[in-house]
Amino acid sequence: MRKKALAIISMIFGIMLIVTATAGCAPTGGQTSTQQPSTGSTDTGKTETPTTTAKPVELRVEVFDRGTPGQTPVDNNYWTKWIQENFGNPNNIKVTFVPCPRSQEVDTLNVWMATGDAPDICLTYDVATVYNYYKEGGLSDLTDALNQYGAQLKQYLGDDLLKYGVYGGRQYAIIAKRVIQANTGTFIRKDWLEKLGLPIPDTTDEFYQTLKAFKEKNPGNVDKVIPYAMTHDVDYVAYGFFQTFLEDVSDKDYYVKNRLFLPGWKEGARYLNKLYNEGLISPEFPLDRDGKMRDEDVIRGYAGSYGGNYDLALRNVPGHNTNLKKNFPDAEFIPIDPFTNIYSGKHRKELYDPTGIRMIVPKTSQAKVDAVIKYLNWMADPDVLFFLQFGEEGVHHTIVDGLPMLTQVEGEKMMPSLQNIDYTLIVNGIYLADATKRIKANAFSYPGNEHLFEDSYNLAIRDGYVNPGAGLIPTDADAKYGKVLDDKELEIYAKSITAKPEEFDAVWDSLIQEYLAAGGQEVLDQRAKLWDELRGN
Amino acid sequence: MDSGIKSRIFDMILNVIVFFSVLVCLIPMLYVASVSLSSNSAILSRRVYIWPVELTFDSYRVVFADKTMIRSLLFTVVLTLVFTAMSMMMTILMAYPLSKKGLKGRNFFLLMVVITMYFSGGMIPDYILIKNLGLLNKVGALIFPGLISAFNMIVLKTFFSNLPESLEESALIDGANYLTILVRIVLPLSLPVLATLSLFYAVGRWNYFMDSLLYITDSKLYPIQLKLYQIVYNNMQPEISAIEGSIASNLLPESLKAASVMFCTIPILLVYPWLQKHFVQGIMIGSIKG
Repeated sequence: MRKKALAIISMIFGIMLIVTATAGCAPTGGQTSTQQPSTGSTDTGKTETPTTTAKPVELRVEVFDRGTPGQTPVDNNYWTKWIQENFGNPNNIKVTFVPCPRSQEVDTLNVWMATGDAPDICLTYDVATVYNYYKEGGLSDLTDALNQYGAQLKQYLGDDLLKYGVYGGRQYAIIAKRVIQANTGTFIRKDWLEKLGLPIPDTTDEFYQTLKAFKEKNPGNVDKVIPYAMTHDVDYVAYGFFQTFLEDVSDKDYYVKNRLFLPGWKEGARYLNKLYNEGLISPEFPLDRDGKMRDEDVIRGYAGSYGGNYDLALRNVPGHNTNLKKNFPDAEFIPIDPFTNIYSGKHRKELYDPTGIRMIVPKTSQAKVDAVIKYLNWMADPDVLFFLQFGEEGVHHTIVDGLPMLTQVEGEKMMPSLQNIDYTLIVNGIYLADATKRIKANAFSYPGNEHLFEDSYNLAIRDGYVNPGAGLIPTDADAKYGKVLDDKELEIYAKSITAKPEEFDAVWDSLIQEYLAAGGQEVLDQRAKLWDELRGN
Repeated sequence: MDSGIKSRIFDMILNVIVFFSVLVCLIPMLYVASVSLSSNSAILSRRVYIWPVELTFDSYRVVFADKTMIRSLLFTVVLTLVFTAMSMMMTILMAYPLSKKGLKGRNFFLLMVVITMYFSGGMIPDYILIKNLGLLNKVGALIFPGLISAFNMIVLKTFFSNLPESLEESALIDGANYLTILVRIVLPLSLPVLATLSLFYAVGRWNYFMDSLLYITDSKLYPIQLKLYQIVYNNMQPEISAIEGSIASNLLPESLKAASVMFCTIPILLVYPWLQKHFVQGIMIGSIKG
């Protein structure tokens, strides 16, 4: 009796399981039938040829979902419909967008690739991911399709950019054009300079004198003066001090010796050590891990100058200039470029490489390669690209001085991402064919600071160069020790810069030894090997 | 007398400790709340600590104006309720038989359950399973995989087996079958543990978003935590805009992030006071007597 009843309960449990399982399956019947043809056909590789069939080819395109407040669904909105009408229908292609969470792009892509569920156009910013798929034979060769259908695309990208996607002589990835290569910049309080009657500093030494004057004379009459505000990210926010002392080296050395081991880098740190001991830089910079202390010092009017992203002072958020002006109506940060290299006299600085997002076609989509290239080629049409970037006149943009100025659109016609970047796959940033117009059009993105952008940009690219290692995949050692070594590098800066001047060398040298022992040596060796392998001697 | 003072001092020390632990939990909440109510320039110049500075409700206006947020919230409420009800039913139905020593194969089933606590297939096999079950982009993907938590099931099983056997025996003698015993005797006696486990399931479902991240691409089925995750992490961070080379002029203000956090957290916090009395309630006082 008792056991029987127990068995009954177990049975109820079992039935529940079955019920729930079937409940899960029931609604899928309809859905799988729509999915089946695409996955089934791509797996076997022998699909209908797109030329004559009446049934449209389905082109599945990954699209990032950023969860912008108030956004329309990224896979079904004004833009996707426009793409379908203007590209899909005439070419008998059905463009389906597959959303992917932006911050999980690599994880999601890995899952998709591993399960054969990947869209026909996959996106990533991760060079290593692309290379790994290439090595494992997971990517479709795009060379022939590009030659046949991609004339416009090839012209738009140019060989320089195309070669970033070439492995073993064949085109395996299409890489978007990055419009803005400007990287770092320096800003200074214009009102402080005027008050002290100082010129805009034009050499590293003049800059140093200016910082000293700020410290001594306190032109802003504030509680504490921080002549040069910094964060813990020293090699970025104080890039200019390092660049001042760098010697010219071969491309290979520049790539291999990555920062710390470049001849002259240590001297840059020594200079910062001097500034620190004279009280010219943020006293607690190693503690400022997210830049919030720097932002605070800037907005409260303590900081006289600082470095970082070339447009940092002009941005709406954190809004250095905008918020500073609320506290001090006359105050303003203007872009400067004081750092001069002691050997060449140039204002050298590293730029971003010209590459944007990487587009790949998984092997499972081999049959769709032509459609993929047709799609990207269509997008390279200036009129199409213009519409995708700027939308309709009077709705998404207005023409100011002959240039399109984007306006904030809400509701159905909104752009779900900044500058519609997720639908303009082949470009990263606001693009116009004419270079000067392009910069002017970009300036519209900085309301209230438009007048500073052009200077800011031009100074940031003056004498700039791209790291010769750009586009190389990270070595195994980089992947293994990267995070540890980055932290170690910041520790080296923090400890050596805050040391007493006479102890600087000892601190620096002993920490460098620790860096090498913590995997740094391995990285140096592997980088040298990789360079020889991929770029020759 | 002496001991009275001693115990009073002891009480005071306890009170102080509890007070500080409460502060440790409360202050971060308060901080987020006040950030969500402060103006942006006040936040950036670090003038916001515990109370809002330059009080403004703009961020909440933006959050509440966002229809997708409201929809996600409602969806998550329904999802959490359904999930919790189904989970509890499944967990009870599994735990009760397993708490009976006489059940054949009991050890085998228990072993199978315990194994899942230590080993799992991993992300990709899980994805393949869900895909082949046809659950991608279905509510089911958010419900079925987590229906029974092995840990919760074992807690419940242990609780059931600690109930006095004499209770059930007397019910059997009176002619009740096991189902009746479960529903009319065991469950009413187990209210505290049922409340606790329901809370575990509900809070777990409310807060978890990894599954929706992988299995759900249809924005209609985004749970609120996924929305929140996207708002806090995805949305045009300076690093992302640096990589993408887009203009980082329209970053999401801190206060909006904080308002979204509050928006997602408060509903589930409201559940606690409601279940509170069950935690406090003594377990089975005087159930045998009389």
